[in-house]
Amino acid sequence: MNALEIKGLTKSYGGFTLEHINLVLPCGCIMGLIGENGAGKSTTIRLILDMIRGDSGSITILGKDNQDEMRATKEDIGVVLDEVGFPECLTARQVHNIMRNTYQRWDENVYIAYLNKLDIPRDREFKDFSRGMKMKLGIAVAMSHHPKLLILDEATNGLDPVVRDEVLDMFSEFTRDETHAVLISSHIVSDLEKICDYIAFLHKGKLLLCEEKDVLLEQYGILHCTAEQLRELNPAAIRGKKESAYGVEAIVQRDAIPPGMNISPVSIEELFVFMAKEAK
Amino acid sequence: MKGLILKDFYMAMKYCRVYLAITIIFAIASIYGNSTFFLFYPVLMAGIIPVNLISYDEKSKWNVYVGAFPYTHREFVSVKYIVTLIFLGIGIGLIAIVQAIHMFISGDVDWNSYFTILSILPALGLIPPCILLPTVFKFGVEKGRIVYFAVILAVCGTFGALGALSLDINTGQLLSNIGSWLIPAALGLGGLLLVASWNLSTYLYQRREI
Repeated sequence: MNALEIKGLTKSYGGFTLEHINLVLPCGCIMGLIGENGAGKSTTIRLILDMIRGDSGSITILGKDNQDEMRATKEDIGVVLDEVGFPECLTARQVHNIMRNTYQRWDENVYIAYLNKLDIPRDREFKDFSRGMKMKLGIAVAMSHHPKLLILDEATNGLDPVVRDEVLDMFSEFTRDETHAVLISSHIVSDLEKICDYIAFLHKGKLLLCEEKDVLLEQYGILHCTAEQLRELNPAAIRGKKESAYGVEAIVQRDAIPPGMNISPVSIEELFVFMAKEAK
Repeated sequence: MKGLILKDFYMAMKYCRVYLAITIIFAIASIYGNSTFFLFYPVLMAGIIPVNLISYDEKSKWNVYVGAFPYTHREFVSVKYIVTLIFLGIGIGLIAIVQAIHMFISGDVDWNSYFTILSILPALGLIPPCILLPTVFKFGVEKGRIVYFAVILAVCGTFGALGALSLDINTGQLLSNIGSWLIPAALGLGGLLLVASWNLSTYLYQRREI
């Protein structure tokens, strides 16, 4: 079963359009949603959660349309938004009391284990938390009711490298259960490259690509050549290029490039930057 | 919905203690004074508290974050009306106690006026929040606050004027002249206003994109 299916999703407002997005996230997998500010990542996530209404298209979460019984579906979803919006006067202990009256499967033991693991104080008010600590509480809440799908919008922002690594391990561990899945958006592409099975690039409301990470890394490479050599290649094979006085670097489809040319491996971050620049 | 009510309870205990203290002071003041303003102030406060809670929700972005949890728009709206009714109940309960004390201290025991006042209070107390909440749910607290202040000024002005008039007019006498039909009519109107406002707020909030 797919954890998430998005078909033809479109949403226009205030001069921005999210155009005809199609995504499939299978269970047991992690999908990274990559895009610059304003690319449409948060809009996509809010549409998935039915916080805003799309103009057209459909969204299916764990086999159920998100326009039907979304309340019940949300019992199976753990969410961290880019801003964890607990009222400033609440403590982690009070959040627990609220959440055990919110989720049917809220698990106090799991929550306490996460508070301990992430070093979150129980009686300090939320307003006295650092941004990283707020995120950690948001993550603990999102994972303590036995969700099947985690939706994380910039959830690793504000975390120091050590905690970020720990949290990424938690997400990877989460998908060891094949009925679980994670959709995560982040600016920190290296984080996504580390844990994601699928990568989706969003740029100015358009989905540039959505593919298995390993396929992308196999399929694409960085070609180092001259401008003349590049002009001789099939333009369809070139997904982005950067010209300088020293030559040209281009993201190319390896199988469409004649053998013998100088192609080096590409990282997901390089692939995204080149493609985003090309799409401008 | 219990979780949302509990959250608002925690917030009210933190942010609305001042209102509670002022309400108690004004209620005690109404024992010794004869001002209608002091009498109606606790009820007026009940309408302020849920709007303040929404303001804090917006400040912390809880109004967005709540979309992550298994609650419907109707539940989010309903909680604010339930909170209104709870605080209105507390306010009216307080008035009931202090007015009973006032009657016994002054020796002017008039149960007819007493119950007439208590019967009309829910309808009067519901007017400000029932006007404010749909506006706040439609436009947010910042824009809704303009309407909010206009309503508060109008209500305070009215009660202030009534308070000034009470130097010459005995409230008890005034109320005893009111026909018995007015009490169920006021309660009915209050109920109608509540249902209409509740549904309008839900309708408006479901269509609002935050």
